[in-house]
Amino acid sequence: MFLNFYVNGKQVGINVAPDRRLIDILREDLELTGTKEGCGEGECGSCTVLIDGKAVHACLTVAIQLEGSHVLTIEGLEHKGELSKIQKVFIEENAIQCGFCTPGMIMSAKALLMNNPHPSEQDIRNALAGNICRCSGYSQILKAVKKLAGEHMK
Amino acid sequence: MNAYKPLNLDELKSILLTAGDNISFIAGGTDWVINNRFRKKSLDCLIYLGQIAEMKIIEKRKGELFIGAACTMTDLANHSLLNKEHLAIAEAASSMGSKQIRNHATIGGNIANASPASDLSAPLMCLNASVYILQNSRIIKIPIDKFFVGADKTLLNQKEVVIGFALPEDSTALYSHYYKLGFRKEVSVARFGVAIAIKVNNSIVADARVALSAIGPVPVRLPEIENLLKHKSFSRQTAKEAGIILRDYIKNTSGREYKAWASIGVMEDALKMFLPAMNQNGEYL
Repeated sequence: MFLNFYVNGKQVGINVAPDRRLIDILREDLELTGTKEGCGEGECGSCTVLIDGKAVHACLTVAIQLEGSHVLTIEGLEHKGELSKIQKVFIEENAIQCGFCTPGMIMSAKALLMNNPHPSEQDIRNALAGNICRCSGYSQILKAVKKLAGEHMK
Repeated sequence: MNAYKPLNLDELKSILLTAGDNISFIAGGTDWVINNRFRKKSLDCLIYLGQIAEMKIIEKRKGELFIGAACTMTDLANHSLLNKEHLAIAEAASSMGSKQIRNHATIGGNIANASPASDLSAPLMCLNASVYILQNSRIIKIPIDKFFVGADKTLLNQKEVVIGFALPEDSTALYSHYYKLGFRKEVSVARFGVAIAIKVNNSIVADARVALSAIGPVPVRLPEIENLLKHKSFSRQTAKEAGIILRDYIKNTSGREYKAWASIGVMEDALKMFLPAMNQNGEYL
């Protein structure tokens, strides 16, 4: 099938199998390797991207579902070479250890803050519950998102 | 593989008239993508149900509440009418998976895949829901308790599609909750899914319905617990007796010891959910 959709604001048109996963389209076809594949079955959240403003798993989304949709990946957060506020705060708060979960963690936080700029700690915990950090750096991640809560994001 | 993305039911009907038998349907895809890995024979045709307008609606019509099969768990969890009148449905949807899963997974998929641990099956059973199915270009309606025929098995044939669900008008008079016990608080598969709906008149439980998922191959209503709760004041004292009935049911069916052991605590916690919304006389606030 021919798929027309948007990735990080740019229109993309490609020939793909209807059951090709979004994670494979991003990483292999479009060479956007910021999105990571961990478990491949929706348990770990490392492949989290935003589709039409909602956090979803790129490993559980396939081409037939994507027509006309707007996909935002970790690469879409920086602007003219400058990291977004949320990325900067993750660095400031040392909310990164090995870094594998970080793109998914940031995209889940991004989805939360877009829809709810002033989340409670429980809101943050709920939004990030589907993102696993195997380094167990949850305290720093929570602190980073709490710091962002209430601030207007770039 | 041919890909179809019908925008309404008429388009879906036309596609099904000409499609062969080697087809598959996808909606949210959270189960489908995983199952697709184990497919032995490649598909001739894949049909995406997530854009069918009639399947994305939640509305009252002809005295019943219609919930389209392509509504996501997030749609259900946030829906004002469900949160007001059918809390068990909204609670079950918000307890299912993670945020990412809830944003894609649909109620139609949750029921049509017929996982024994389905979160939505118990609330729908408890509220006497019906299932609308597209069958040979006609829409038929069947009670949900007839829909499940085994673990991961339903009445659906190859080219049949769940269009939506109907909650009968009398279910709005019931106050309902969904209690889930899993291995952890979030992102958890139900080990017990308990849906309870009650109606209280003059401090007496006039009607009670209890349905459970994850304790056997298909969700079940437990009339013995329903009868126990009826015609008396709603109290936590009956919770232990309800738990004993559940324990004995599990011992006599699946025989899973850990579930039998947990039964009393599960029923106590499930019934405890009703207390904050009641005054001292047991009436709803």
